Amino acid sequence: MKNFLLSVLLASSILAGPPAESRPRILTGEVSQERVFDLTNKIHWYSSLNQAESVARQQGKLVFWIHMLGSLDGAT
Amino acid sequence: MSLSTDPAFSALKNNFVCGYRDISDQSYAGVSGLHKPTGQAINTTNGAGPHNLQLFILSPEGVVLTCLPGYWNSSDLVREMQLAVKLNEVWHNQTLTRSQKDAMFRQMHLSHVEQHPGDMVFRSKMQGFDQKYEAKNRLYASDCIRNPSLITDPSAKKLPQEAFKTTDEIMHQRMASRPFQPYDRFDVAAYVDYGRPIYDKHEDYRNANGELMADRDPKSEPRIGNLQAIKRNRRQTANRTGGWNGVRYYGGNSGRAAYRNAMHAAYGQ
Repeated sequence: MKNFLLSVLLASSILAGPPAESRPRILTGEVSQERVFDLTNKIHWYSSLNQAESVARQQGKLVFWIHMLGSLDGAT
Repeated sequence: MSLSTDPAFSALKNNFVCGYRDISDQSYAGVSGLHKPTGQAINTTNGAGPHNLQLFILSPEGVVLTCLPGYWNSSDLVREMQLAVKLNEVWHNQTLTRSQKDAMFRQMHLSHVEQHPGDMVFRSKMQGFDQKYEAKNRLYASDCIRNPSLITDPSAKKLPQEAFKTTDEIMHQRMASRPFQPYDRFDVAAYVDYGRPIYDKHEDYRNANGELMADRDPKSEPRIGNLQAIKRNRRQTANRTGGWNGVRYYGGNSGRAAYRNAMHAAYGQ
């Protein structure tokens, strides 16, 4: 399981594409909105760390936990 | 937003249980301009805005494997995810003692810096305003400054880049001193303490080329975060620089100069 996770991460890293510097510096509001939509709708985001840890234990995954100003789908 | 682009997005979607919390009311939180989901976004450097954003990777038991302060490039973030996966294997290895695990944690974080590719290091240059903050406020006490003797004038418009560590190096060095700490005991305030508490690129006040628009005033932008942090920072800066803050110092500027000289003698050249 752990090896599988690592190989997926490594593969996704290799397929990363061009570095950020080669992309446009400014993302329009429209593009930003689409990305926020994908991020918040294609991934489930827990607001309880206890719940996230419980699910992580069940699924054998790690927890990615963000500290941020505001909320992912609202103003930040 | 680096999380919504690959490879980080796919890694998060497929391999992690994700969550977040709003830290606006935390003492260590900084301040940013208010950005709506429909607003513009801009690329920035790794480790920018450490007070406003922290990306934790935890074991399922809530042990901190790594924490990335501020924004991080999508590919660079995945590189750190890979390290976290390996650290989690160490954490769960029942043949190792706790002290062996801690030693491996330190070694793996410190050696990871050496493996960072050049473009990641380039993306990890500390923001200029954060460098100035460190140079002005704690030239001889900052773990962000590799060689303070190279900075002859902390107020100079351009500071010598070779005097500073990059944010990827600072991050791993700070993590190395916090082996396998439980999340609820992780000292976030100390961990994210570098640079100014305010971070804002005024994304919605820029044109398509990324330049600030002359006819719009970024200072009118509403803010989000711990607004007390700005007031506290101004008081602390006034203390350090001798600006009037309602408190008198014995010895005035000469006293502070003596303190700086003593610090220089202790830590300099």
